[in-house]
Amino acid sequence: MGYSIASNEVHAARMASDTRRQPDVIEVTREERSRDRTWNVIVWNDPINLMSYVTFVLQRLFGYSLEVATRLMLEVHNEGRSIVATMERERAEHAVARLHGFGLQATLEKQEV
Amino acid sequence: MFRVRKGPRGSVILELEHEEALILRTLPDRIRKLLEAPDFGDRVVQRLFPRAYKDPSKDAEFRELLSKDLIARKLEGAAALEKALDEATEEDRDSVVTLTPATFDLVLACINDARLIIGTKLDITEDTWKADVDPEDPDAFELALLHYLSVLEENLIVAVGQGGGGKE
Repeated sequence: MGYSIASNEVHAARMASDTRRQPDVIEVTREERSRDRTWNVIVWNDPINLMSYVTFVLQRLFGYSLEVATRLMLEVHNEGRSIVATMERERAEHAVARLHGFGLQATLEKQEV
Repeated sequence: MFRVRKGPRGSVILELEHEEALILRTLPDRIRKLLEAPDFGDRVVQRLFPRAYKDPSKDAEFRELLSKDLIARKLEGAAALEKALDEATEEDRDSVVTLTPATFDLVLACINDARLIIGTKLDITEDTWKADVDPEDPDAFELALLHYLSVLEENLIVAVGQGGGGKE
């Protein structure tokens, strides 16, 4: 799986602030690790949604400028998928649910660290 | 053919010919019918409820938690489109529909749901958009409707402009 805990700044900060915990990364439970990790929200290309619509939805849901939303939409269109946001799991799930509400094909996956 | 313009207080005004309004009025029922008792084995329903996770068990958990909300959201969209059409004012034979900032996103998403339903049924590919509709094609009406809804959706988006409009 390649958990490179040291590169996870959020995790490091939590470890530093928690004096009860042994400074040993092995002791961190699997659940805690997954809670600390960030998740990618991915939008996938599909043949039905219009380019203008995908751009509109990205602006609407994430508050992106037209330029940023257009760049992400083009990535979806040309590469087949684009990471449109990275956030903690609960918020990423919420974002995916809202993207589904607009009819976009969206998934979330753990960010590779 | 319809016209779209900006209205007062962030609204968008959609002027429809009588026949266009009649056709749009059929969409909410069509969506509701599909969502009444959704068959998640059906690919059209699957398109409206996309996967959230690659992992099937995580995905099932996600769906369990959130599919009710998603159905509610889509029904809300269908109701918003229906209400907007029913409250339209008549001018000559045109229907003048007002989409307020509160309803714009719902109506747009509803029109898009209709596009997803038709497009999935017809197995739309990227190439479909380049070809003209063949009047002899048994799917000609649905294809023409899909094209029409696409132009309508595009024009509604242009009307709200960059990041503004619908929600203020």
